[in-house]
Amino acid sequence: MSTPAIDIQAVHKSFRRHQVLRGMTLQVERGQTFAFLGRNGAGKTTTIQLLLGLLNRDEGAIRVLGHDPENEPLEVRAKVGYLAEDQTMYGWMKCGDILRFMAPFYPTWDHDLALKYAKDFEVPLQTKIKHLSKGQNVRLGLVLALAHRPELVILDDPALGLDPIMRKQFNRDLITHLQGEGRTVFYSSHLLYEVEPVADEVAILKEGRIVRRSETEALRRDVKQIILGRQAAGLLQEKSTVLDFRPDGDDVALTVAGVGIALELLHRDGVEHRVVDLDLDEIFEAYVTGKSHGWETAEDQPVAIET
Amino acid sequence: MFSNQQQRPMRTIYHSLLWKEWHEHKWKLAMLVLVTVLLSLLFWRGEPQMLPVAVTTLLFGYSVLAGLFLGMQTAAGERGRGTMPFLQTLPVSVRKPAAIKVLMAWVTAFVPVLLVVGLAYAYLSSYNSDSATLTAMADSSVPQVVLDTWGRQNWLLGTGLSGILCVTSLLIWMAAAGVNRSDEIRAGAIGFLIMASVWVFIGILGYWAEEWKSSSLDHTVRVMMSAAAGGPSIGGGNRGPRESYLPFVAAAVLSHGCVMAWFLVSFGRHAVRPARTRGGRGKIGRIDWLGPPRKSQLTAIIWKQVSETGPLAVVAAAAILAMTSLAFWFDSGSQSRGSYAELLAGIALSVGFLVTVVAGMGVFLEDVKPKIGIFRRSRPVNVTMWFVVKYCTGLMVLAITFGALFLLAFLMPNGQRLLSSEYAGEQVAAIALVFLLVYTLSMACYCLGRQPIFAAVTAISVFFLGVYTVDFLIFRSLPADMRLFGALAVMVVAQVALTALAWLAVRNNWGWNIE
Repeated sequence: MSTPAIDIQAVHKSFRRHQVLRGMTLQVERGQTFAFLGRNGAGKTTTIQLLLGLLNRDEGAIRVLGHDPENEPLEVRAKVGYLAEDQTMYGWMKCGDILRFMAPFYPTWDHDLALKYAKDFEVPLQTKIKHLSKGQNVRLGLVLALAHRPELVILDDPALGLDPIMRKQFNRDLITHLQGEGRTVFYSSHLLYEVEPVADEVAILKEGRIVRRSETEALRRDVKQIILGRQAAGLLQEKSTVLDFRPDGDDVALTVAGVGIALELLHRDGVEHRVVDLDLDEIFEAYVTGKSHGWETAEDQPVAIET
Repeated sequence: MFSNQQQRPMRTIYHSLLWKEWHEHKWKLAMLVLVTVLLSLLFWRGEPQMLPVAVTTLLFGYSVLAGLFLGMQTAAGERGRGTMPFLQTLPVSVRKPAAIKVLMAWVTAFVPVLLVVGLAYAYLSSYNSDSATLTAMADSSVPQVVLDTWGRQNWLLGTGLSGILCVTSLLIWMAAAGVNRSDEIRAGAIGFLIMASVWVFIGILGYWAEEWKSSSLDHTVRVMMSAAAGGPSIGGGNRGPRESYLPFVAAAVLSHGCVMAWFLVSFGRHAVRPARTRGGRGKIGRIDWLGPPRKSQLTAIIWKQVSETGPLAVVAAAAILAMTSLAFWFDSGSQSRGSYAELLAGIALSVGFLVTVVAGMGVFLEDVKPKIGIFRRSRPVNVTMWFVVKYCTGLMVLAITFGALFLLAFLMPNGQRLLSSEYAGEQVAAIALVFLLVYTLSMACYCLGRQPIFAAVTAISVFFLGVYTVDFLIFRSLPADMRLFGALAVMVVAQVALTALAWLAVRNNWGWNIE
């Protein structure tokens, strides 16, 4: 059995007194497109900097493609293609120049492939980088991240700031050139609809911890909204994981993880209810901003029915 | 289609890095060569007796400025333009790019020195001048320390080598002391403070050596001077008659080796930290003298500019006082308060020139950067008010700082001698006007070029070329009674033109974004 592309075990990272990662554990299998989701400031970029050996962890263990990035950062970076959020490159270089410039840094650099990608992604080689549009800049960054045939590609909010058409185009390129070749992609984002079409698996990061990790389809099947009477809501409070609670007139809308068990309970007790499918955006929102605690004591607290 | 050249990748990492650094330094090199050669030709004006003073002044002035400015860019250039994260993620130790960066900066600094010396040598050879006359002239213009070290006959070689040692030392020290700062100006301020602190420390030891009459401490202090920023240029000049060169050379090599190693180890070793949440820590003990929220746009802009120029002015004032005290302790022939006042005024004037150049660039340092520029321009702020208030506030901060230093010098015993000349009023006015012009020139250069090092080099070059032009056109061509008026008219015209140029650049977002 091959080692995971990324293996993070109980990693802690603080900046002075500000704790960013709190015992984060995560594995990404090879060949997967893995969406790493979290709000701004959740610790996504810090995690990526740890993966690339740009930061050192306080505690825990990290392996990237079998290497410890803290001790072997150059080996990791040689095998990883990285595209940073809002990446700034040398503005005075032409696109063709930066491809030539980058070549000797990577033992596996394939310049013909770089030129092919540049053509496919419509990167103007004769244009200076400072004159590129936002979309062209991102696509050039992608060419640079892919031209050495990396085993793992790390994308840190790459489509940030692109318009919807550009984002779709970017994802299409991603699917064509990465998933088609069976590479591992670690895609960090806070835009769910962006990663939804491409991700095999998602992990949601909140306050330095992974609060949910699942295959995309399984997550969608597992997390749903159940609308039911206020008095019946207490039943779910005890027996399943409520991520979010919203009063809706005499009813309440509960976003529940492990919906199978919840529905079983409701059927068993004959509680009238309605189930609403959620998209990944809504599921993400429930995990990171949902009121999973405290609603029990609210004034309009649902009363548990006796069974 | 792609050209053949584009289809060929570069061969090695060093090839790539040298190509990159060469590209980033080539225009600086061209400009420095042009300016130094032009200035040296203008200064000695074909008169051989002017050669020693012209070469010495030019080389030492150039070495200090080039060392500091190229060091600032080496330290913070990558971070300043936002490309450090890109460099960090390359699969190569950042020590390699750092080493190539220092090497290319050094070549850029070195070549103009070589050219000036070569030019002077060629001129001397072609002129067949009387070497005794030239040696006599060198005696009066070349620093004693150079003559003592290299001999009177070798004054040109000695001046050139001292210049190279000076520029190399300052470059390495500034690069290390300012490493990883967020921009060149901050790197310069921190670097200058650290270098000055080292000299102050040596000065204090020197003071104790003299007080305690300790010859061993005195020897140690003189050896330590070779190790400090710019110290190697003193060479063996501070060596006693029977002392070996070895400790001085060893101290210089060891300290600069360590400083260089520190730079190589530290370069790029930082990461963007997550934004801190606003907590009590930032608020406790902080004097918010305008009181939040700002009452008006005017106070807000003043607050911003004072926050930007103020620290630089405070650091400069502290460094000037420290340097004055240091020079006073070391100069045994100036043991009077009056001398201290003269030293303070002299050092404030010379360091003030450099600080004014940096402060001028700092007025719009952040404002014309693309991202911040868009932020500023998208706010409902009157651009003329923005420009005028920032310009005047920066100027006022400098005027108050240097005014206080000059006042201090004046109030010291015998300080009144500073203004004893018949034309003291005119001299003060002329100095103030020159500083105003340098401030405006530097600001205009930065607004148009948007690159601090280019702006500094351009401003200093234009200033000296301007001085020569005024000298040639006004003081050599006009009748005596018209000269003052002529010089004043030129300065006023230049001041108005430069202010207008800078204002147009800020208002219309003009600029080249030189890289």
